[in-house]
This record gives sequence, structure tokens and C-alpha cells, in this order.
Amino acid sequence: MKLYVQNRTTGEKTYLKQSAVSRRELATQLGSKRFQIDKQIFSVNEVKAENNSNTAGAMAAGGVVGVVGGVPGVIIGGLIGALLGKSTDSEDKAKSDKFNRSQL
Amino acid sequence: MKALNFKLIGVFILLVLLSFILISNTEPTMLLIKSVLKWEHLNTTLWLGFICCFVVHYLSIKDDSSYNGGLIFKHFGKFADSAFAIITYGLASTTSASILKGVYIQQYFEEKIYFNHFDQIDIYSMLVVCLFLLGYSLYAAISALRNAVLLSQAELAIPVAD
Repeated sequence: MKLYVQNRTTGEKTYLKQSAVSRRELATQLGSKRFQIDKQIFSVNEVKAENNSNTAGAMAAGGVVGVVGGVPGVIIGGLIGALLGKSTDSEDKAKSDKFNRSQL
Repeated sequence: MKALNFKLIGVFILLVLLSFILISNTEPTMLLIKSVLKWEHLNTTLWLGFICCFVVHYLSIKDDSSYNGGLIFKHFGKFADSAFAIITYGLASTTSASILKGVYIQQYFEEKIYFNHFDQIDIYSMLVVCLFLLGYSLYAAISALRNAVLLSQAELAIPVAD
């Protein structure tokens, strides 16, 4: 899970080095409800979380390593990789949803 | 209308292409895999690769006071965690590569018997488990490296008095 704020003028995302499970925890970590990033002042309520996407990478890695087992190896490796990546993504999505629902 | 996941479509095409290459060039591919597994510098390369990935990961987090993640066991601190990761993934990958070499040569080339009193099911289980271990170790190292690069692009939020 990555935390980010959107630049008010350009709309570009700026990722935060900090990580927290909720906005309250982020505020406690910072010691303030407001912070500066990219020469702009933001409130902790403006921080959003987005989940990482691991399924495609894990599926590709599984398939490539599975080459040792021939075509069945590529298919099985790809499937195992996709399942593992999907499960990590689901956990990450639950965490980012929890953060996005949280309030100060 | 649902958005298409282009990354997954790309990976699917890659795997289909890989399968096609394997079917049309079975023998050269098998010889290539055999030569990679028999390469005398494979273990050294794996160790060096893991050291590089996890050292870069350590350097990216060592001064970051807000970092609270962990690779293996974060209780003993960032340095110990990175060292444990190098040792764990290094040992897992080199051992699985050695077992894979034995299984691959025995099962597909029948040049040498590495596992004498093992049933076929045990040998194929070893093949699957070692492939998983090797793949998982490589994936963990690449993820650590990718996260280090992404983290270095992130910015530190500086608190402002309320």
C-alpha cells in the first residue's frame, strides 16, 4: 500500500515515504494534522492510499521460472504466481480501503 | 464498461509466446536450461544478485525513520533484517538451483542418477517445490529492489504546526 497526495495545480500524485494503517495513525506519526510536501500544505484527510499490483509480476515470474518444467511448468508456474499475487493484492486492497475509510 | 487490465493481458501473451517457443524449439531450450543449471558461476551470480538487491534495499531505508516494514524479521532492526534476507534467500535459491540441476538432468537427459532411491512422484515434487523456492526468492529480491527505487522517488511529509 502506498500513500499519496494530489498536487492541487497539476493533479499529479506525490507519494509519501511515511506509511500508516489509518489517517489517525499518520497524524500521530507526524505529530500534526497538517504537513508540507512539494511546497504545498496538505491536511492528513487529503492523503489517499492505493494498493500495489503484484498479480501480473508474480504471474510472469512464475511462468518464466516454470520453463524448467516445459509447457506444463509455464502454465502451472503462471497459475501459482497469479494466485499468490492475487492474494497479496487482495490483502493490500483491504488495507488501502481501510485507510481511505478512516477519518481523523 | 469494465477497464481492461493491460498488464495481465501482456503477461498472458508473454506466457503463450513462451509456451509456443518451448514447443517449437524443445531441444535447444532444454539444452540452454541445462547449460544454465550446470554453469559453474550460477551460485556466485545468485549470491551477488541477492547481495546487490538487499544492500540497495537497506541503503534506501536506513535513514528513513518512518519505515516500519520488514523482509524476514524486523524485530532486530533494518540491518539485521536485510542480512537475514540475503542469507535466507541466498541459501534457498542456491540449494534449490542445485537440486533442480540434479532433477532436470536425471529426468530429462537421463545422463546421471542423482536421486537413486526416490520415487518418480518424489522427484517431480522436488522439481515443483524447488521451482517455487527459486522463483519466490528471485521475486522477493526483485520486489525489494523495485520498492527501493519507488521509495527513493517518494517524498517525506514534513509536519506543519496546526
